[in-house]
Amino acid sequence: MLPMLQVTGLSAGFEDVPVLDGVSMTATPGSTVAIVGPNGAGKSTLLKAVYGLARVRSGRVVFRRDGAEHDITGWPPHRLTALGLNYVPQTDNVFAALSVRENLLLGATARPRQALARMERLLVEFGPLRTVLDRPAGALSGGQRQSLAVARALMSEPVLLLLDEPSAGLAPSAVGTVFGHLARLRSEGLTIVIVEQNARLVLARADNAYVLEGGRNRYEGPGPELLQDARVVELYLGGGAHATTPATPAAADQ
Amino acid sequence: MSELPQLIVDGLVSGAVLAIAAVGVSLVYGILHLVNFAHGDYLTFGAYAGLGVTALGLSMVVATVVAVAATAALAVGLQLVLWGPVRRRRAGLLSSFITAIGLALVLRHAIFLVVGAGSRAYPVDQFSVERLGPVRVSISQLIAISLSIVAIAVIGVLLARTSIGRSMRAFADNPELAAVAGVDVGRIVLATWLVAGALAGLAGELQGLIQGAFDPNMGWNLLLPIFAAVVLGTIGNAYGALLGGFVLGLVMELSTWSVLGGGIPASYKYVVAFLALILMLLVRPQGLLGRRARAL
Repeated sequence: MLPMLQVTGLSAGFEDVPVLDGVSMTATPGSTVAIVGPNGAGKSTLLKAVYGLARVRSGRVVFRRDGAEHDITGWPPHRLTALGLNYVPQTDNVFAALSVRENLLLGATARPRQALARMERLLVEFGPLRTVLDRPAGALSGGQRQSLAVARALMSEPVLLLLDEPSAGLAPSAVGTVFGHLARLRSEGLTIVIVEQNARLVLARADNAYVLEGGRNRYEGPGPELLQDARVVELYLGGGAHATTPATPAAADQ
Repeated sequence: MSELPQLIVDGLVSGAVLAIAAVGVSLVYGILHLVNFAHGDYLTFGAYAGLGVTALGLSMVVATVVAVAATAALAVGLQLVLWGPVRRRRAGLLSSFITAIGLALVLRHAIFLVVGAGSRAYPVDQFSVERLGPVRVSISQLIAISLSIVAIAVIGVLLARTSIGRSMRAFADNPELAAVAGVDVGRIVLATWLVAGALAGLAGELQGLIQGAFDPNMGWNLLLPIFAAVVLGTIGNAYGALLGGFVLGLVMELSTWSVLGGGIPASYKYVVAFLALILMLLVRPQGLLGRRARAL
């Protein structure tokens, strides 16, 4: 099966600061792909570069949907949203001054048809948001904000969702709620690329995972396997796990 | 004893025109982070665009439509040839501000060149006055207040209820997230100028109407009261700018009330406007609507 998202040799950064140095990755339709690695590895930048928020200097990003192939390298976000991608930033990811309802409707800007019906459907899954619809999003708790940010992204009916550290700064119970949403979205067939600081949490759930270090690919493999890989555990997970089976270090430094 | 109601009505009329001009400045500041020092000259442009239409023998209704459309087109055009390139070169707040001052001078003198320095007036009977109870209202004032109310209602609905208004407020709240959420940033910038320009055109024509006679300095002279209204109502907050405009209009007119120690001479009423502003900044620096999170 051809990948839905295919990143090849991507070098990108901000202004004149290069961050990514030839990173490659793919996500097949319906899979959950984790991007892990130490601080400053370029995980978030990878998502931003795919979503047109970082400056791409070389490399290619290809998106496939319904048999059509789009070279989306360097496209601006609103065109990507219309094509079926969406991205949830790590922080500052709701419009604090707008009501929850307006936040949701805003998510449908790129696909305005039947936005209200879609919002109603989403409010079945994101029940707690219904009770705060008319409150400004700035008044929500951290967990509610994260739910709102994900729900807003879903308002554009994406087939590929890019998530930047959805667990950052959340209380453990809220982390559970957010990952519950993700499990459901995955079962509904959404393709997810997720960056997480909490690598254990995400590797256990990822069909495939990439370990980045210093802006380059380091390891890749099925999530649970990487979780068992002694070197990965030692390097990025702080040791202490029952690392027994060494997994394949696919596509290490190129 | 009809002085007070009369002053209130006059204050509401001039406040309404200030208000719709101030909303444009506030939207541009809140969304584009640009202090448009040339906004007053956008008003002048609108006033003369309308005057040109009446010179052709067409009605004030047509003149109003043309004033609004032409000034909106001017604002959008200047975004395309001036503000867009300035922004792409990453001009800071100060460079943009200086650019706006330069633009103000260029616009004003271009208008001087075309129409001359003399005073002009719309073909509206300045002496035709309606009596409404204790107050007398001129036709010009009636036109000004009713069109302002319509414009304010339209702007309110646009910002609060439409998709483009929601996108504009989202962009003001968090520009990067707006882009992420699928808002076409370029479209929002143009829409903001379109709205601000249309309002400036209308305000310019209405100011010309209520002043009776006007010259190419009209908008420039009005610029500081407009800015005062914006700051009074909390800078960047469109609803605040509306409120600030009305408050300032009322303060200016009421300062001439004879009961207040004989009232001050009418020519000093702009001074009173600025005293009100300074007082406000001392007592409540965040402006009238400043307590809330920065909504538009």
